[in-house]
Amino acid sequence: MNESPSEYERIIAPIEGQMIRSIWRIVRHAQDAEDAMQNALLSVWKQWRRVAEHPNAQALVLKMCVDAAYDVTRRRYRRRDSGSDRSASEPVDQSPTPAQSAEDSEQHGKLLAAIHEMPRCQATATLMRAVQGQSYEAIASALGCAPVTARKHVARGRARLQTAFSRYLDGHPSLRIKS
Amino acid sequence: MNENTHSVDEPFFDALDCPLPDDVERRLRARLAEFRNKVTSGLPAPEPRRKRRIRLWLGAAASAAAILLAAMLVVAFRPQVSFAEMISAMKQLPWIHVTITDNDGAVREVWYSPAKDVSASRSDDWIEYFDHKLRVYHSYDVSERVVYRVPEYTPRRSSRYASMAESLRTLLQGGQLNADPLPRMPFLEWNRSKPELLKQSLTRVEEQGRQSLDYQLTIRYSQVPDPVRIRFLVDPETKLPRLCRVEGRFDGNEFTSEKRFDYPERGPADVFEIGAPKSARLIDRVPSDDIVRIQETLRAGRQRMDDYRAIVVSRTDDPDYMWWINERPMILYRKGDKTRVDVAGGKGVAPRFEKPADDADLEKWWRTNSEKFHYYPLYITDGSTSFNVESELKRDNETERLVVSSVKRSVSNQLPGENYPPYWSRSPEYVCRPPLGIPRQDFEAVLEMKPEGGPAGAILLRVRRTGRMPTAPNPDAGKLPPAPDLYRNWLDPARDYVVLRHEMLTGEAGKEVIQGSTVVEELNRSPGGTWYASRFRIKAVPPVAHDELFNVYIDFHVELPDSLFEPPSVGDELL
Repeated sequence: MNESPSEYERIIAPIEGQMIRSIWRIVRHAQDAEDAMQNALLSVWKQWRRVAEHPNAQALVLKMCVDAAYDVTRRRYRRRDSGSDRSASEPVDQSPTPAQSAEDSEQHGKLLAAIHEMPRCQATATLMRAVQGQSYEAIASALGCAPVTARKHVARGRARLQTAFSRYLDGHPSLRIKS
Repeated sequence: MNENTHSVDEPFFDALDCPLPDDVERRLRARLAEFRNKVTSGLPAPEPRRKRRIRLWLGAAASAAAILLAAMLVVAFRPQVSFAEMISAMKQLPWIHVTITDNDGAVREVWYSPAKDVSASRSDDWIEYFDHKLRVYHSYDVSERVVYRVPEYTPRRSSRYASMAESLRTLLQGGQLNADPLPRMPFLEWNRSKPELLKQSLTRVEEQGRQSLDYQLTIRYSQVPDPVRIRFLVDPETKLPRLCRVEGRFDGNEFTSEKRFDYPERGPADVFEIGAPKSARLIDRVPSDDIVRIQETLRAGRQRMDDYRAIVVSRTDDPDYMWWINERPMILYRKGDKTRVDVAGGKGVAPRFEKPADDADLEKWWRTNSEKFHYYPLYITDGSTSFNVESELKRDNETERLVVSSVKRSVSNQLPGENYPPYWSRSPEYVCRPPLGIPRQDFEAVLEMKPEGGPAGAILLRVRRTGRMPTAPNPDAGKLPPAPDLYRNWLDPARDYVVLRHEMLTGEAGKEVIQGSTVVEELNRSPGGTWYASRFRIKAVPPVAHDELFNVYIDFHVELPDSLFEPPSVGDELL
């Protein structure tokens, strides 16, 4: 009887797919996604007891994924800002996916840029909501705040995104915010 | 999430949504698999990843390596080398007796009789006596003043020290250095890592009026930066070791371990001869006949299951969960005692599906759509041997190839019939026959024929921790969740005692908290008559919010060529 595997099966295994997709939706770069996953798992492992005893362990793990992905994209944007983005030996992801069409990348980049301008809790809450579809209770539990606070974080984040999108999305009615 | 908020957040979700390339999913799943292994192994937490593209868990491995290597060399105590590796000449020795002095000055003793096939040990905390021929194990808990008697529940092992003695005897038989000695010293292998020989020397010395061969080696393990120095003093006539001294430096700390060998004619006859008082309370953990019959029936079910190919799919019971986007099927194969686990992905872009209708036939839906994925092997097993296949995506111009990057072989240290393959908790014949965890000296098994609660008609096998067992200290124990104190298995006597519900609990009686629970919701019978689970549920227990539901769509009449169960080689193209 090894208890640890069952802890993994209980907490992590059911959300493996959500973890992967959360990171990918934010990062959209193979190497960065791997880095983000690794960093998220390091966070989980370092705080394993806290995770295992958390009232909503899976939301906490998914938050760690969002945080790790967010940090990776921030670093990426900083490198770009400082002109020290990837070296020649580190090619950008060449996956021939529709998502990497210019328009899509620009839209994704714009969204992330807007998220990067938010306070950290607001960004995390907004991403947990937008990327993972988490309930306010789950977001609150992961952030360690009240549900009403989580709701406020998301509402404010959403408002910022609406502003960013409204500037950018003229002529893209399908992406206008329905409220 | 209600419909209203769905519509509000949908544009953001769409803006962030993007098909997940299969190679990315495969890479991220590989990280998760590594993590799962780390959780399973109970290794200390790894160092943060500071540099990109560094071997991911190297920091952790090196750190853990130091601890484990130190444990192996300093605390070396448990028999490690299989009996088959013993050379017959050693069987002539009546007894080998080793006195071990640890770095902290603590002294322990180990006995092994190749002739009798008995081993024993004595430390400040525990006194143990293994009769490998009778397969009975006695141990005395010094602090509790209790003697446990339990059937030997791990395969018989010979003594590490017998192996060491025999290796040296054959290695130095000619009285000269062997240019490549490490292959003859398997006891130096550690954590599947073979050491590198840095230097060696062989001289003749005289100590306390006694001649000895002084054989010294300096070796290095790839995971540990500092070399390890080993000195053997060997009897020049018999070539048997008198002394083994190990010195090294781990995590900045010097350590020394010393083992002194002697070869007496007589050794201990039982646990009482090496210090256990005869007045000690005896706790007998030999299972009752009823429990033995249940164990044997479950074992037979695991072994007799028909060959099959099964599509295993899962989802949570969260009504908002978009499982048709997020979930991938897993394919399990079984042929005799060989198994294979294939996962979806590998290369290209995964197919995307629309949400099936509420009244859709999900078996038909999965059987149709599961064919649209690529699959590649993750594990292949042959009896107790397991092969973990790792792969990487190679891109040449416009083409992608999924190529085997490594095949890691491991052998399960379980008794025959007690092997559980990877992903057994998703396998239809195993999930309803989980490990019962007995016999073990620290757990007491009680069978209740008319229990309250539980599935109708079920009997209850309670396995509760009521004792202790000698275990090596785990430096990371405080960071891990508490180990269960109680296992409740609800067995169906009408269906070969399959486990309908399996629960793990912590806490004292009356204040128990469920840590995990698996419920078999549907059972079917194979053509050969073996019951298997076709639908089961891992119950959500706090902090998990939603149950995990599993469905198994199984085919028995499929051709399963032997080649399907042959582990690939590094470089082989999988997709």
